[in-house]
This record gives sequence, structure tokens and C-alpha cells, in this order.
Amino acid sequence: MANRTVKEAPTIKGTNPQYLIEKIIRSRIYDCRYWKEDCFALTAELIVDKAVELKHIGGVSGGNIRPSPFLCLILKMLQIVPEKDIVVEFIKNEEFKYVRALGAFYMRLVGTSVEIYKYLEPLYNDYRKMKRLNREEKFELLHMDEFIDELLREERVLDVQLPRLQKRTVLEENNQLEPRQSVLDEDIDDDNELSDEAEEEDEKKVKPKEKTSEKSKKNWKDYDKPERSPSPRYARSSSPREKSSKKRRRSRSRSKSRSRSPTRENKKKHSSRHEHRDKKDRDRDRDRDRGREKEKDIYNYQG
Amino acid sequence: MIEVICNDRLGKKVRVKCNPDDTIGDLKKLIAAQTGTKSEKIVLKKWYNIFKDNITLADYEIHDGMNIELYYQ
Repeated sequence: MANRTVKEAPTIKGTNPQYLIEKIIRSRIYDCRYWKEDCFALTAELIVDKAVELKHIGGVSGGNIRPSPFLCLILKMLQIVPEKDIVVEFIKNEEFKYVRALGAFYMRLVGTSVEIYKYLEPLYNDYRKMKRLNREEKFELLHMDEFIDELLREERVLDVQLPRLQKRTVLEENNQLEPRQSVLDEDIDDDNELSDEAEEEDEKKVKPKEKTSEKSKKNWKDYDKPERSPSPRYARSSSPREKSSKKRRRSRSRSKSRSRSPTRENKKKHSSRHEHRDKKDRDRDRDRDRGREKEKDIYNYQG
Repeated sequence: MIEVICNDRLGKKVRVKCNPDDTIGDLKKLIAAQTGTKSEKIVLKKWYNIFKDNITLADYEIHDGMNIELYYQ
């Protein structure tokens, strides 16, 4: 009586929508305090208020299998089965990332394959950090795009068995989807214009660091483009174009013409107290700048 | 190598060979391999004491031939 799905609800994947979450975890959610206190008599509007108050995502945690509020709200959404527009609003909203995560997770459970790819792939560009409560009741850091990646790849996320998702290639062959356009495509095109060899060497140095950051990961393999992982901008070595500009800058600071310019002489007239200081400073400036140039290169290499 | 018996009182009784320095998480994986359920779904208990995943069998003083209750989540 209290926990029945709304009468008019369509069956999802052939079953009662609530049955998408497994029996044992569902029973744990019905018994938990958050469900009884906060999730009683929630409608679609009130769910928004609750969702905004979310502070982390998570499945069940701890020895006594405590469900997280996120999971409780997911079950509530499965119970009331909100309109698709509402779910899309949840996904599109920029301000609250946990609301977005909630909408994305619900869409993954309930939507068709085409819808899932259509609404979840734009979220790959969102790189905000989120907190996730893991099984051992510890918080871990997670990025939104990593979460979306898990939703699209893994079978079991946040202790919920995800329904089958059609492979993207199959949908592309049926012309139901366009091939994926990654935001990183433009970065890769810029990459291809500059000299390949220097960059390949530097990428080998940077690669161990890149593997840790999964943020810039393409969803599918583009057989036309050359096999290279897109490296984030800050980790790339300076291109020959940039290197040459630095050389020009350095020569300008060192050139004698600078000291002979009229503006500099005017300054000298005014500050006679600091005459000896200026002379020393010129050499110091040069040495300082030289050191700085080297530092910049080091930073570029180390990323 | 010690042998631990896991019983869920509903028909599943497995004897699992493991090391005393294995964690409970490893034991769950071994049980999952034998029973076929997923390791995340297994809960090992002794009366109401739930065994945590990151602690070794030796620390829980689980010796050879001990019975452990198998539950699911």
C-alpha cells in the first residue's frame, strides 16, 4: 500500500519500475529512515527540493547495508515515474550537479538506448567533482564525466544492475544516432597541424600521468583519425611555434637597444638615488629571466 | 591454506580454501567463484557480527574448519 508504484505507471523493461532495483536493496531502502521520513508523499516538484539538498552520491554502504539518500530518491523516482520532460530538466540543469547525476542515473535506468546516448553524452563535457560514498563508508572523489562513463559502460553502478544498453556502433549503423562528436576533436586537429615527432616524444614522457586522468577519454574509436590519446593542453610540450616566440622575447629583453631607449634615460634622471641599483638590476634581470625561461620549460615538460 | 565453510541455510554450503592472511573481500571473491553470486552481494556474518571487507581472516581469528553464515545483500 505505501510502497506501491503509481497506478498509471508504464511498465519499464517489462516489469514494475521499482523492480529495477533488486529485492534485498529495495527492502533495505523501504526500511531506512530517510525513506520513511523524507520520501513520504513526494511528488515530482518536491523531489526537486530533496534532490537539491543532496550532498553526495552513493549506493549502499557499511556493514548494515545502509542505502544513501541518492539511492532512496532514485527509488522514489521509479515509484512515481515522473514525465520525461522533468527528467530532461534534471539533466540539463547546470547549477546542481547532484540533481544532474540523479537525472542521468534515472534516465539510464528508464530510457531507451537512443535517449540514453542523446542525453547522457553531452554530460561528458562536465568535469565537476562529486563525492561518492563507497561500500566502506568512505568518501571518494569522482568527476561527473567519470560517472557518466561508468553509467554508459559498466553493468552495475551504485549497487543497481543497469539494464542492457545497445552498443553505440549498432545504433550508428541503423542511422539512429550520429557518430560521436567529441569536444576534444578540435584539440586533436590542432595537434595534428604541428610537428608530430617532437610531440610524440613528449607524450611518451607525459603518458604515465595521462593514464591517471581519465577525463579526456573518447567514447568510441574513430578509425579515420590516427591512434593517439588526446593529451590535455597543459600537459603538452611547447610547440615549435611557442618555442620560437619565447626566443624572440628573450632576445628583446637582452638587447642593448632597450637600455638606450629615451624612456629609460628619462627614468634615470629622476631616480638618481637608485642609480647603482639600476645598473645591477639589469644584470640581475637578465639572469632572473633566464632562470624563469628554464622554469617554464620544466613546467611544460612535467605538466 | 585453511578451509572455511560458508553456509546460507537455504541450500548453499561451500567449502572454500583460502589463506589466513587473505582479507574478507578476497574470501568473498572466492565464494563468488564457487557459488556464482556476485561478490558485492555477499555478506558474511557470525550471529550479528558482520565481517568487514578490508580485515584479514587472521585478524578475525577465523581458523581452519570454521563455519561462517552466508547472507546476501
